[in-house]
Amino acid sequence: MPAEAAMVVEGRTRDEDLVHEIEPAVQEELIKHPGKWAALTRSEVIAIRDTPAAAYAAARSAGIESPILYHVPDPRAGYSYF
Amino acid sequence: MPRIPGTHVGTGPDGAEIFRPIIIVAIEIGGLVIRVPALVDSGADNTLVPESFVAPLGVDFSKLAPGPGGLGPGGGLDTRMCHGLIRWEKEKVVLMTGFLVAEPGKGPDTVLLGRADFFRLYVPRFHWHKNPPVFDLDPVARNG
Repeated sequence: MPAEAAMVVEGRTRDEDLVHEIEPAVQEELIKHPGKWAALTRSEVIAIRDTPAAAYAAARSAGIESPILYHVPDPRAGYSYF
Repeated sequence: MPRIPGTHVGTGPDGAEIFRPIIIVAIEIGGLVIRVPALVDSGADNTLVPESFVAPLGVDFSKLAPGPGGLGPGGGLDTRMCHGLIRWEKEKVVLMTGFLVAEPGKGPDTVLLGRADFFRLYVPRFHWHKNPPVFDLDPVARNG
């Protein structure tokens, strides 16, 4: 089977179905803060803090009831699960 | 099933851009919910959740039943079994009703989705040759 055919799902190519779990603009903002904790939505960074609790609290104060809590990886810190 | 772009997490020491296969999951315990990233990790035996993610949901690590433990890159790791839901909200599915929690201050800084549970529900296919890299998560039911 040609490779192109393998990529087709129900009449559409899979690349037409790309779904971002976190919007690219948010990803690019996050990587400016390696090692920090962020509270965000899929489309907006709400708060950047040193601890998860502080980031979560800041988001709640901003009216975000259930933010995504995200630890920004620090590639300079050596091995990371990220 | 949608194709998911890798999440850009930074630039490595060699200047290469680093992408990771991440989905956003919701952990639900006792009516409380926290939304966090989860790494699709074929190197993880079981799904593992940082203690810092479940503590705000009222979980006391010391009161959890012992898990199998593990030997990660950092050495021995105390893990405990925790009852709770992990949902992939975007796909409207419950991924699991129980998971392991890593001891406080150790282990990963994100959820690791492992082989014994998540990989029995989804068949991951990674396409690292694409720019940016993408990955597919096909439900097992569709693949037989």
